[in-house]
Amino acid sequence: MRLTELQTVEVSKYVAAATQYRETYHEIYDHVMNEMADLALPYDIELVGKIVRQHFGSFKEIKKHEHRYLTRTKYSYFKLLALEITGLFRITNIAYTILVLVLGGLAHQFATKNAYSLTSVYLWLMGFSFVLVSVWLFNNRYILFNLREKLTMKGEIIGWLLLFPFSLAPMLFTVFLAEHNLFGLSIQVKNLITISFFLLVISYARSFIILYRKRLKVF
Amino acid sequence: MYGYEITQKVKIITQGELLLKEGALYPALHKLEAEGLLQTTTEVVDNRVRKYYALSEDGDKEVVNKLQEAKDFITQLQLLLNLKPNFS
Repeated sequence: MRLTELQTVEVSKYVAAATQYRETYHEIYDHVMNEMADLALPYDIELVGKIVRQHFGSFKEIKKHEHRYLTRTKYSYFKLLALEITGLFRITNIAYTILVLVLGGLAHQFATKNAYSLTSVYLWLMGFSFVLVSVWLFNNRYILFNLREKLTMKGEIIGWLLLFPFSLAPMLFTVFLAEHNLFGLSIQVKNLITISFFLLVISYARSFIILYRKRLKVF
Repeated sequence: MYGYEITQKVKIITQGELLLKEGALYPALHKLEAEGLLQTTTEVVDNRVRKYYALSEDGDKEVVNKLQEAKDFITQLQLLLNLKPNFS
């Protein structure tokens, strides 16, 4: 059957109500439209509901599947990211790794020589990076404040991967870096922890960029 | 191939004997995609986004293994079915 523009909008709205993410919306909508085109029956919105229920299950089941799909994809990318990070120790990346370690060493030496605490640098850099990452996510429409637009799984995965280091930052500060930290650590030890954390974050960010450019695809 | 195309292709090849319910098809496709065995591309067709699936490099290798597994299973099944009970 051939659908009119109004009927197409009605189908689209129906599928939009059934799905939470843009990726699954597109897939189900395309499927339903193909099926409708092949049917030799008159248009009825009940028919759309029947096709969706028969082939994809209830709204609840669709959302459950979306959640499973998202979790699976999220962890597969997290695994790829971990692989990229371990790749830093490969012989081909050794020059980069040595450079980062040398820079870290120099920063530590400078701080120790001048009895300078890197805690404030840590707070400023983490705060600045958080704002930068949030702006980037918003600018690329991975964060949406428009309730009428559907979220994308890609956006959620990218947001999750990018904001993960920031979820560790407050705990690290409270336990090790704050003035009255849990272990009463000296400035030197605190600086060493700060620099180690930064080195890890830099490696994480570099691996994320490689993954984002090469493989991160969720349609 | 896209999801609907896969269901139609299976229907034609099996002459309607095997009906792939998409409630089973899409979760399987998404699982294989997350495992990196399928790669996907999208295209806009008739003003809607269509997702195409294709075997990835890893997927190609896995197909060979899975086909061998299936052949072995069928051979074993045939052996079992050919067994005749001995009453003597």
